[in-house]
Amino acid sequence: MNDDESETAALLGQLKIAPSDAARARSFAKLQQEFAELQAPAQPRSRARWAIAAGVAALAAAGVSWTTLQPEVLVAKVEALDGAVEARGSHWYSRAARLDAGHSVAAGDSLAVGADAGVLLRVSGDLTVRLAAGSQARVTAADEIELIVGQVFVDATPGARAPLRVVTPSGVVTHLGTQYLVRAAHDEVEVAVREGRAQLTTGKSTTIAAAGHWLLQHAADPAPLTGELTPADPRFEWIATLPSEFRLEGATLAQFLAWFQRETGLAPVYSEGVDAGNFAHVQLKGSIDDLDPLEALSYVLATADLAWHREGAKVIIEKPPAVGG
Amino acid sequence: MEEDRLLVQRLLAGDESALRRFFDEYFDRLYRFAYARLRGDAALAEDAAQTTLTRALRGLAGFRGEAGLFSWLAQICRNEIADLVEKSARTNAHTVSLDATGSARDAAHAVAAPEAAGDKALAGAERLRVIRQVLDELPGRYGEMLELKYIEEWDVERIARRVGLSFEAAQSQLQRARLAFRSALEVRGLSATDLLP
Repeated sequence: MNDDESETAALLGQLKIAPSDAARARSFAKLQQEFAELQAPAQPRSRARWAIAAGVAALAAAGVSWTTLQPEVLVAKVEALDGAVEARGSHWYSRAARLDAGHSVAAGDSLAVGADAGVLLRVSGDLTVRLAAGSQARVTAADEIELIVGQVFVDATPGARAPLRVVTPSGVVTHLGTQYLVRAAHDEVEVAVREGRAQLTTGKSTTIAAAGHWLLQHAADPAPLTGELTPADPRFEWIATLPSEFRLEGATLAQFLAWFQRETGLAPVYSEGVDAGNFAHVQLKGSIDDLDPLEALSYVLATADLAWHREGAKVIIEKPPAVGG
Repeated sequence: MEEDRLLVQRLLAGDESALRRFFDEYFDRLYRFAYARLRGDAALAEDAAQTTLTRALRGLAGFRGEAGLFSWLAQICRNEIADLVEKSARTNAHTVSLDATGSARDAAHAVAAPEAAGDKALAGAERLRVIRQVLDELPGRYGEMLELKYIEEWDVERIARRVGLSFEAAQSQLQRARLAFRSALEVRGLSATDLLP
């Protein structure tokens, strides 16, 4: 800090005055009362007023820090992370802290993903959320995320109850199952559905996109534009850089291929001449930690003496070409 | 700005978690905003900040998002402060007439707060008011950026996001804001030492 900056900091630092916890408690209680009345204008108010007044009195009498009374609700865990991602709690005293794999994310945390970074959050056994580079989001609850800007990719196990709302400035996206991407920018929102269906609700319309389709709602347009995704759509390219965890040791090749398909959107297909029934039950050993899904596929198939090549949205599993033949 | 719009959208939808965020984000800032203008009166500052948030909540549908949410709240807060100052002036006029003959009260003051300490406290409050005023009168977003950096202790990256600038541009604006702040003090014939305790 140079002299000029130190001087400014010293002068302005005098204005760092904080209200007391009791003042905060009193004021928040009054604001809650106002909010409750605004939300329920048709309900009889006298009882609500008494109840809220009692709450206000209790809080003021306690004279304790209401913020510290709020228990942190942990809603997700960082399963994979690439680069710098910062989280900041919702309290007035919270400071930004760098996230690491294994860290927990609490309801209310704001996340800022660095320009070359990405993060995969596991919300439950059936739900993961990936945030792309440059995204800013706030995890408001286990079933809701505010995407201020950037991209999220949601992956929910088909058929599982794993609800999630992605709230963007231009509209709200909910899934009807199961893999979709949401991109939010200043005045538009885009939804691209890889599997299942997703619903986009804006102030103007509600539209459902099916697997293999995208929706783009711009603020100036009355309804969203729609289109089809290509088999190797570049929108999803970043997803594979943040693979979800897969325990290879003891898993079957069929289980691995199912994971691979969810991660990449590419369908594994056995070529003629490969005994699919036999290979599907092959038990796997080792670890694919730190490998992206395509690298993992090469590694796993090699252990079963198989190879692969890509054809559009498929990977063809085949016997390796004979050496020297 | 996007964050502001989103927060307002959620408040209008009746989201209680948004209410807490609204309060956490703005109550302390409004309190500080009012405190310096109300010559360090904590009770009035609390009143001003609380009433501002309540009024804002009632008129949220009128927030257009052209300016930041804090700018909008600050405008409401200024009106609240003006009302409070007016009420306070009326009360003080009444109080002075009683105090003029209140020897018991003078004696109580002498015990509770020695004269020298009282003068110093007043000078402190005046200092804060002057610093706040200089900050408010800076051109463009200089005042807001200095406030975020040195009072709210935001890092440059967060300030840049808030005002829609690149990191480098925000750093450069902060540098210019510091120079403008110093110049504004000099125009008033003040130096940093005059305003430090």
